[in-house]
Amino acid sequence: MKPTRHATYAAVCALALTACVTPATGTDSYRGKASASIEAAISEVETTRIAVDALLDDRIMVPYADETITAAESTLGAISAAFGSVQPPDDPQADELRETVTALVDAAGEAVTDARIASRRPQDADLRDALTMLDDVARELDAAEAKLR
Amino acid sequence: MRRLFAVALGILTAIGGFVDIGDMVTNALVGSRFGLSLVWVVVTGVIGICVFAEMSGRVAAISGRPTFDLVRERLGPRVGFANLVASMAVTLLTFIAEIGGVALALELASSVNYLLWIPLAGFAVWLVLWRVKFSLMENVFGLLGLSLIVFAVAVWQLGPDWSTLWNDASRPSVPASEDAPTYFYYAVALFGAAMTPYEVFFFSSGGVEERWGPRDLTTMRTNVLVGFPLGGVLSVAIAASTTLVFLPVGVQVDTLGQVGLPVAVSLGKMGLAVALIGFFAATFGAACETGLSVGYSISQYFGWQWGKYVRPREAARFHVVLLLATITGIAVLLTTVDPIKVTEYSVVFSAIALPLTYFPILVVANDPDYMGEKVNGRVANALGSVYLVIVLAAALAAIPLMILTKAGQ
Repeated sequence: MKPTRHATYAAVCALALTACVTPATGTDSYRGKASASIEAAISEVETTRIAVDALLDDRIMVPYADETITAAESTLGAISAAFGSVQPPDDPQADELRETVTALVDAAGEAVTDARIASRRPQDADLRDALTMLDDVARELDAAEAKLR
Repeated sequence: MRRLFAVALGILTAIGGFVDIGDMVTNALVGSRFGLSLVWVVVTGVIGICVFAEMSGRVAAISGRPTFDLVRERLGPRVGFANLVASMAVTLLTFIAEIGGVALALELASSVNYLLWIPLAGFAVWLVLWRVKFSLMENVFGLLGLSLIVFAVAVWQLGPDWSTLWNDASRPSVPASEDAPTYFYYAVALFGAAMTPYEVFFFSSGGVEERWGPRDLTTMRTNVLVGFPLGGVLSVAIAASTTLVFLPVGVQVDTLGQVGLPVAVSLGKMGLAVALIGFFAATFGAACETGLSVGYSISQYFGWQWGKYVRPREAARFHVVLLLATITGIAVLLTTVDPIKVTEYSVVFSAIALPLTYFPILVVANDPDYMGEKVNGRVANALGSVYLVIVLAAALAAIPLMILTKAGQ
């Protein structure tokens, strides 16, 4: 392979790799992405809360609730992966923010997973436990969002 | 009595057939993020579709030929081809989204993954396009689509503060939590969903399928001027339901399952079951309409025999196009592309294609060689011209807004 071809190949590979992650151009931009991730997580947690509430009140069919909660679970996984792929700026505050947001989104994911498991079981107690977890996570997400504004 | 029944049936099917996956998802999403502050766009879009559907229906009733059959003849092959490519590409995208919508509705009812439903949904759509009579297809899915009235009942049952809702709808403004480009991006998307090109393709070609003549003009106008606005009311009801349930808690709609949740909250299982029937009927009916529209547009451009009013053997190339479009739709969806994302993009690309779709209609409806005494009057021309400016503005703004807002994020 000629040197120019090597260089072109390396450039194409570098471009392809950088395209996989969204760079944050500064702490403000990174905070913006963090805030967007928290907002998206709140949306999924609240969707799950509404579905679980409806299940407890016998206002929704189990397959419908299951699909809705499963979709929320998948979206939370995607949110976590997307935020995790963002390269934080070289700033200790950004590292701290990264840890906080990642932990919160992961906690939201776990709460929604518990809700999905509970929604497929006949016991109301499991659903109530899941709802309590969702309430806690929702409160933490709301607090984090308020802080980031 | 028989005529009255035909008018009533036409209105009901127009209402039920007005809402498709694009209307459902876009209105639900907009309601959850912007409240009712974008209702003015739905109103503008409904008036616009009434103006152009009336024109294309009149062309079909007077000339006995659908509008787009005349476009190439009247405006030449180049304009005809541009019209064909733009409108058909968007209609095919919408067709794919509708088949995906059918599969998603079945997934919600059965808990079986939508990817497993896609081949079956596509096959069922193709079978209906091939075997079922046009009027039966239109009436059954149009009437079943009326189930979406359950959203209006859900809104009423939720007991909203009507004055606040009216205030939001009548005094549009950008909500504090959103920025102006995102607000206008969704305004363009809603406009594209309301005025999607296939509606006039289907309406004018359907007129020929049902052998409209000058005597049917009143029935056609009643269907358009009563049925479409009432269909618009269904769209607003969907937006209002998500405004009431989702906006206060920060839920942003991105799945079909979320669209139906407010009905479950308000009316319980029975209401949700009716909503599911509405989802299925609206998406299946629209899949048939968009599939046929793809076949109509290609066949009419190339001058092939088209339509369901002749036997499939007599319109073989038309039916091959329908089959290929269905196979394409299934293949695209089986790549696991998100049907809701396809829907969101299809409504924005609809807005981009609007000028190429609606400009030729205005030209043909003004041509006395085709229309005789029934050419556009002053009111139709004034409204048509104003709407051409609006659709041009929406088409020009769509791509820059999409880039600026990262597709509305």
